[in-house]
Amino acid sequence: MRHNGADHQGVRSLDKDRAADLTKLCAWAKTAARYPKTATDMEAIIAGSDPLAHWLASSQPLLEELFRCWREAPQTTLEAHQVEYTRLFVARWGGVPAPLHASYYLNRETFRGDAADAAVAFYGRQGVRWSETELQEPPDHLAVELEFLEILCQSVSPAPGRGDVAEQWQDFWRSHFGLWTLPCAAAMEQHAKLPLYKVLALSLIQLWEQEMGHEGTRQGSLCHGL
Amino acid sequence: MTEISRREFIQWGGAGMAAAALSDWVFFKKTLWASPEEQEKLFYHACHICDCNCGMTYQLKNGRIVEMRGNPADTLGAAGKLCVKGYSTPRLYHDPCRLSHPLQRTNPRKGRDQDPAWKIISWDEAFSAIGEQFRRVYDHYGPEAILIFARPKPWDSHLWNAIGTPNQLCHVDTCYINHELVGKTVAGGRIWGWDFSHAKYIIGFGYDQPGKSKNIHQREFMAARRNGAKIVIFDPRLSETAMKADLWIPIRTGTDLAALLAMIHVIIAENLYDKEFVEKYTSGFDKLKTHVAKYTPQWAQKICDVPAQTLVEIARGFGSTRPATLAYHKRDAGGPTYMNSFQTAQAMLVLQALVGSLDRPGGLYYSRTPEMPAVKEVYNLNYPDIADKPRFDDPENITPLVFKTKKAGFSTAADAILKDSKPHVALFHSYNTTSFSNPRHLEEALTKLDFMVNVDMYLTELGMYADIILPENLWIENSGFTARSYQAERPQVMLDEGAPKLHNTKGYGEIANGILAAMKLYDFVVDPKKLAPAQMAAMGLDKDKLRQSGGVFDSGEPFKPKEKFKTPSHQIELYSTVLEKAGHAPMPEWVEPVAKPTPEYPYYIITHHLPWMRMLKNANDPILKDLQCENKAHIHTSVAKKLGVKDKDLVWVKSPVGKIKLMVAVTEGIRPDTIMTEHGFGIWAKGRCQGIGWGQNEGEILPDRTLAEMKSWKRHAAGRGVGICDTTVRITKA
Repeated sequence: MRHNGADHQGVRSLDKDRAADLTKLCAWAKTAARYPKTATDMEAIIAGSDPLAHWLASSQPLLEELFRCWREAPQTTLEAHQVEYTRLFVARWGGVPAPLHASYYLNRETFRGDAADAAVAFYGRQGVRWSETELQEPPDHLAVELEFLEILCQSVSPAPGRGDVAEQWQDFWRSHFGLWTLPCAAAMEQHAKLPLYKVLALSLIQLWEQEMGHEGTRQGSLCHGL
Repeated sequence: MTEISRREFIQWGGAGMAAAALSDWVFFKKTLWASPEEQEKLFYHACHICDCNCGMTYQLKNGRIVEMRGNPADTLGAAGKLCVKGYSTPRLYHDPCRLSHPLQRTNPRKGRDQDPAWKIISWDEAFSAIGEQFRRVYDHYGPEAILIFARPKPWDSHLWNAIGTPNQLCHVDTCYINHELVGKTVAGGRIWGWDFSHAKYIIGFGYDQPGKSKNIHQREFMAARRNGAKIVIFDPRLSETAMKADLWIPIRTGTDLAALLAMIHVIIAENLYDKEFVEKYTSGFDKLKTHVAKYTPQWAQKICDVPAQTLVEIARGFGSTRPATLAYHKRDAGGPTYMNSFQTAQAMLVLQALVGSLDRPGGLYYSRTPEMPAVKEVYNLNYPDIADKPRFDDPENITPLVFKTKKAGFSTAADAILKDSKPHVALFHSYNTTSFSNPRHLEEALTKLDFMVNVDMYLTELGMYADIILPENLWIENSGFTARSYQAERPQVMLDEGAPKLHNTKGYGEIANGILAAMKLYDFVVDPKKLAPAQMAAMGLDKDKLRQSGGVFDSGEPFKPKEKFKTPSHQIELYSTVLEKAGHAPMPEWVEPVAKPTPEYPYYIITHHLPWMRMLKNANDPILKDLQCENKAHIHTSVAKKLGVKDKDLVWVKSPVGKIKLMVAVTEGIRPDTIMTEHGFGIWAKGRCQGIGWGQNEGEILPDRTLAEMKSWKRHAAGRGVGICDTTVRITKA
């Protein structure tokens, strides 16, 4: 998947065909990056995982394991994912290894730092406004930013002269999203105990390599992001 | 039954569901036009990092605090400047380690080595779980089986009063209770103002508030310095305050009371006291005169290791200079530092009265906080009567006065929980195990409870024993007002304009009422938003008026010294009838400290707060932490030589309670028989990402107390102070 697309200052450009695939992928990742509050959330995560089948082959055995656990003991599986999400991203004895908001990585470990403002500015330029949800994810939360990518993908038009979305995509990746998601995903991959968050981490890494592979090595970006 | 595969689930059952669940926008709305760039806007608030409550202003832009300053309109407090802790507020606000959601434990096993396995729950789920447990205990064992560990703030008081439990436990017996109780019993009020800038002679006993960066104390103290006041500091170590004094007296640890009694003796014997003030405003002088006749400077010298002649000279200087004042507050020698500290606090107040500077210019004065209706009056509530209900930690009513003032209970909490079958559930509001000496004893007690709730801003050590954790707003996210109590020489009110909440947190008013509703105590469930406007209205204020006056209402009332005092005699009772009636010593008496050096534990131990730390409130601040990232064992040069250690070597400091490993700091500025270390370190609950693993919690080597001990000290420990530093230690090279 790498090095095979149009290149705008190192970030892969967005065309209509890719956008259609990425829309589904971002929608799934967004759901997986939210706290699984109910059984319906878990069902949505499992049911919506189809786009990963070919795009990330290594996810399949992990998703099979997730489904097996879910089928055998849905309530226990839900609670295990709630505990795992809290442990990885929210509050944990042992430190939170992979906070899911950009400011943590880009602004000296703050919450709602400059990176949150930067994200909001991107949203405004695209004509959308971030609004708080019950779970109160901040504007630079992974799930929020994935939904923004999803919106960008949905906005791609084949008509000539509508290249602003593709530019937004590249700008967002290059100056914001691409700077923090890899260290976040790497920490998630390292500390995740349950298959779902392994898959989420691997998806983010794959996505980063696909979109940002031209920008430099993973290691290089990790250092930059931190 | 045939089991379906994931593929089948996706194709048959899940596809529609997934499409429905995944296709919607969750976080965004379309806008027709771009939002204009938000302009910075100025807001007012009082700082709540410490009780100085300095007025502050802050600028918000895009929901973020971009600038913070001291409010110049707060002339009694900040006067335009904040301390280093106040300026750290934006970092607290944006701290990623703050609790963001209610949490529920899924691992029932509790202990330092147990991962609670938290999961996020909604507020409704949290209240429901708490309501179920608390109501069960309320119905089966009675309200007294519910323990509330909280300060006596309006919504805390509302919660325990509505539940009807007498068992509210507060940190004041590790903090200011002795000074508070002495003020109220001997002189009828809270003495929480310091007019050092007009004093000509100032003496402190372990007083180091300027060294703790208390804004008001620093300003007053340095003004006194500039104005040429003579300053004498008694302290086993050369504190930051002692460094600014004319005279540092390295008194033997725990014996300040002897020096005070000797000074009272000299001032009376040499007729140096303020006769007019004593005759007009005090009672019991003759009894005091007879009582202190035995406390000669020569007697004191043997105890406190200060030459008798030095004590005489200081007493003469203090007694013959007007105005002269003592400097005292919270955890000094009259705080709960030693088991004789209540007597020390009492002796301080007696001496203050003898030199005629109680509630007089150049002296200490009472807080003139504005009158306002309490929660009970605002909402017209009729709480159950708990005044005569026995406390689980004082069944024999050993210290009745302390529980009628600000409550207490930390000193004996662990012992009482472990020995009594009554407590079943507890709620802790903003307290940590590190707030307690001997925290392991408390942790053992906490595992005995059926259920525990922790309300805090961080995942703390105490939270590791909780079943439910409720995340509270950071104070700057709360709106309302603050009535000044420190340095309130006249009534003053500050506007609190809350910054946007960054997380799924609540103010404590909402939390307390949410719990009461979940307990089905509907008669006491009120709308907390109505309190501040009602109280402000009763003072003739509203938020617009406060905003128009720069965020501060200052009554401007001229200082009127008190002529009558709220005691039975309406005078300052040098012989306290209130204390006597309650079975405590009516006049300050010499009593030996509990701990004395032994061959096994040859050193005294004392503690200090660093100027940039307020307990553990700032422990997660990466910038402040870098100023000194761990506490040290400060030892005298001669001790270092004897041990064969130098700066930065590691040593074990061991007491009968426990042991901690510290880095050495060698100094000439401490008595050779005393070791000092700083409080506010030793975080082991890793929810605070910055402070984790740095230094050691000195509480691990400090004692707590048993109910039996408290009974044996009834005469002298009316404040039920824990005697934090009343232990001795040994030190060995690590």
